[in-house]
Amino acid sequence: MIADFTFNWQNVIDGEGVGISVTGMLIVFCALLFITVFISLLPHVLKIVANFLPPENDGHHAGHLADGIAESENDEEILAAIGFALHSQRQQR
Amino acid sequence: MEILFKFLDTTGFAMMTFGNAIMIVIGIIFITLAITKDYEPLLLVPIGFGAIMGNIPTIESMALSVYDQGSVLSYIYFGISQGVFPPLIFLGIGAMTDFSTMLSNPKLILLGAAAQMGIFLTLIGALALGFTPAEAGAIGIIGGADGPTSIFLSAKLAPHLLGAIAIAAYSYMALVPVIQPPIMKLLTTKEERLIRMKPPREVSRREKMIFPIAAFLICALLVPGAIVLLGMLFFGNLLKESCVTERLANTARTAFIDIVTILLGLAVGASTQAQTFLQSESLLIFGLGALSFCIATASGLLFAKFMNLFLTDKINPLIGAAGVSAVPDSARVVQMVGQKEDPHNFLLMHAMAPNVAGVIGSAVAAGVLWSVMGN
Repeated sequence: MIADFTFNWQNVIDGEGVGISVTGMLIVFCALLFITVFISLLPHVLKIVANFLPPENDGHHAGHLADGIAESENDEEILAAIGFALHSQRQQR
Repeated sequence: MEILFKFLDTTGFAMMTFGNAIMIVIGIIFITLAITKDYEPLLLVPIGFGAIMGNIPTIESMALSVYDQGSVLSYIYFGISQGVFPPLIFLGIGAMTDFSTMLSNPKLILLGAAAQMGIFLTLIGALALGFTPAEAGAIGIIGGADGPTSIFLSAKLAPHLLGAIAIAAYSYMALVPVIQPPIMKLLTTKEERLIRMKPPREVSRREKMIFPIAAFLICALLVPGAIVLLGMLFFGNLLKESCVTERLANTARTAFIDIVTILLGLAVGASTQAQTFLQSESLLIFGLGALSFCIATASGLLFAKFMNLFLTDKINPLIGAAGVSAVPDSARVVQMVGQKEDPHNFLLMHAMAPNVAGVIGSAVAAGVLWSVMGN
């Protein structure tokens, strides 16, 4: 069955294999090169526009909110533990 | 008694062919490798079990296999045949991926582009061997070392080869720690392997947020064929980096990607029925797949050496091998090979840059091939 497949360069020419490959690699390189250039310029652009943008911490609003909730829950637990410790101490006296 | 004999004729034992038995053994080998050697267990276990399921002979009148219309497996296989699962996997990958190292050292992105040479040289090889251009494109993408991308493109260009291509892609991804190190040692000197790179700079939160949108616009406008894969990848990453959709990002990178992986693996495995899978074509696809992995690794390494000719801060050429997008396996291999020369040289974070760039590069390459050959 494998004998059905033979290496024939003419198939590559007929299928425009070299053209497709060169074009394909060129496009992949272009896409990633554009991204490279963009990423390289981004910090400089951000520095320039920093004055017009809100402080970066604003982006963490939800995170802080979640932290806040977690903190308040923790606070209650800590207060309960402190209360229990004080109560136990007083009873021992 | 006649009913009993009639029933016995319909059992899997009676209808089992030699090919089915071989495929069941292959399925068991996959599961064994996953369990004993830890080779891509999240994929090889579902694929292996799927191969066992798909090769139990069934009665023609009963709709049971992935290729039978109306069967349960055919509905799961729909996600593969129509290219639904790969973009969903990309969503999860995007929500897991940290592009920081890539953003901190953008020149390393080019290594991810160079490694895609494996795709296009294999395409030429497949054409020369007599595959049609569409089939050759689908086979070539194995060199991208990206399972979902391989499945996506073969579903679009050569659905009849999907099983063999998917199995080849995932098998070689699992074998990255075996395939890459000899090529890496062959193409680099000891001095090159000892090169230490500068630690990456800190990347601001704002850069991380802007990146997925900008990179998607660049790639999608250049190669619209990559919209689905890259759209989902960068959307997943935006969910992660935006800091306001943590719940969605968390779901995408955990339960969601796990569910899709289970369905994808099982359906790919079940599609490897002996009658369609055990062909000379499949053997050739496996051979070409191995070749494409080797070419991809070599191109990444050689391009890193080429870049060093112009750079003042040299890069360790080993990280070029991470340009194949088997995330994070090839980056881990770079770390492993680098530490054999110098135990205090930590290349993993540097290797992650070409590694994630390789994911983008292979998706772009898939988009190009789909645009050129799918029309």
